[in-house]
Amino acid sequence: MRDAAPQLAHGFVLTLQIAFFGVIGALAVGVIGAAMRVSTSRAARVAATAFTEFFRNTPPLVQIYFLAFAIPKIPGIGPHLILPSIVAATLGLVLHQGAINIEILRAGLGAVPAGQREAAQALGLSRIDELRSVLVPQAVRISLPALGNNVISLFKNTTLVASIGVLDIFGEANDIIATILVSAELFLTVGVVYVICVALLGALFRALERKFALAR
Amino acid sequence: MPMLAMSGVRKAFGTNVVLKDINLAVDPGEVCCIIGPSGSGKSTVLRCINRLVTIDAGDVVIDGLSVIDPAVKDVDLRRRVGMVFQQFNLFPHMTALENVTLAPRKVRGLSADAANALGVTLLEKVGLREKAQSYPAQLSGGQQQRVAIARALAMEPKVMLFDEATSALDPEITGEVLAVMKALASEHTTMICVTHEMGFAREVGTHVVFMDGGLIVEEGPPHAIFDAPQAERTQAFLSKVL
Repeated sequence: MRDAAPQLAHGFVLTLQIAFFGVIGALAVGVIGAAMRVSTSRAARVAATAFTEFFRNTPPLVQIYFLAFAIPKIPGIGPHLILPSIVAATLGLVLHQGAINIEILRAGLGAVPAGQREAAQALGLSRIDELRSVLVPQAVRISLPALGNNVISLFKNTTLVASIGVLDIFGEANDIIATILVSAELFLTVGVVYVICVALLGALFRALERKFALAR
Repeated sequence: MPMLAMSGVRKAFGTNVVLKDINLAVDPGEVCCIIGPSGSGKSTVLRCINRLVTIDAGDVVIDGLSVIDPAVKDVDLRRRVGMVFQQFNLFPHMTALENVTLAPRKVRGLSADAANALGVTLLEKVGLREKAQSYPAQLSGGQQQRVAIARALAMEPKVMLFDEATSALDPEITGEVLAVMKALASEHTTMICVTHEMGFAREVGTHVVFMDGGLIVEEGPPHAIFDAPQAERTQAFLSKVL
């Protein structure tokens, strides 16, 4: 067990990296996609809706497999576009959790009172400024609890990357088990690490909700 | 030339015809008070002026710009028109000063320093300089509405629209908002006020318009409307509210 620690620690660092880039990427996808969903351009709305429906409704594991194993096989583009496993894995998480963020933020935008939009328009703000300065800051505050849940979901889904050979903490644990055959202690250790991390994330989001609470 | 001219304005929401044929002229410096029962189309008249609502027929010309001219941009109209809402609609995530300086920075392109200086001056004008750093939730309804007036004035508009600016307030604090409106009127700000405050309309208004059923039933100077209304519907309405 003691010998396993450095390897698990190495995997844990990778887990944190994937989660970090995954959360940032998924948030960016969410903000851009939600802005497109409420755009005046029909093409933008249709594109964002199609994106949401496709990537939210397919299992993230299938998306990760597709990016890692299917794209290299597509004639014409495949050989030029071989994603390293870790990139394919992170991208898969970004697309799936990003699609969910789009839905969360779209609902948040819908929950901002109509008067806020009228006031922004009456002041002569452009559509971009109306979103950036007035609607999105309020939508994000309204959406914080749901965004927090999605971050936690993404954090736990990072274990999916192990299935395409990326050695995150779960991948490393599997690797160790394959050689020394002690599964219970290792899976328990991995589980406890996740419990602690998710508890910390939960506390972080509760603190954010308190800090940015919107009094009306 | 009038500051605002509405001619033959018609607006329907679905099958509900809210404005049937509105013709109205407001000269610079006038305080036009629109009174009438709920659902008569008063608020829609205001919303047609800054294109929050697009009209179906007729025209609205504000300071020489027509709302039906596709070459006239929304921002060109809205820079000329300040609007104050019944529910204040302050931005809850911004301080009073940030609410007031947002449009000067984003729309008029003022620097942060210039916008802040203007914002402080305007908050001073509505008597709330010391509340510059307060958030809307920390202010009373009357204070919020005064901040909203300062926010609308920050565009240095040619016309101020007030959409039942005191209707959401407790009766004992409507006075502080009406006092600010009165001060604006005394500076010859062109104002169009949809209001249920008959005292304000009579005292401060220079031009009173009675609307019912999507039409202007009667208009004229306050003493004519309040003391000698001609139309039966005006008489019936005033006998209920006065």
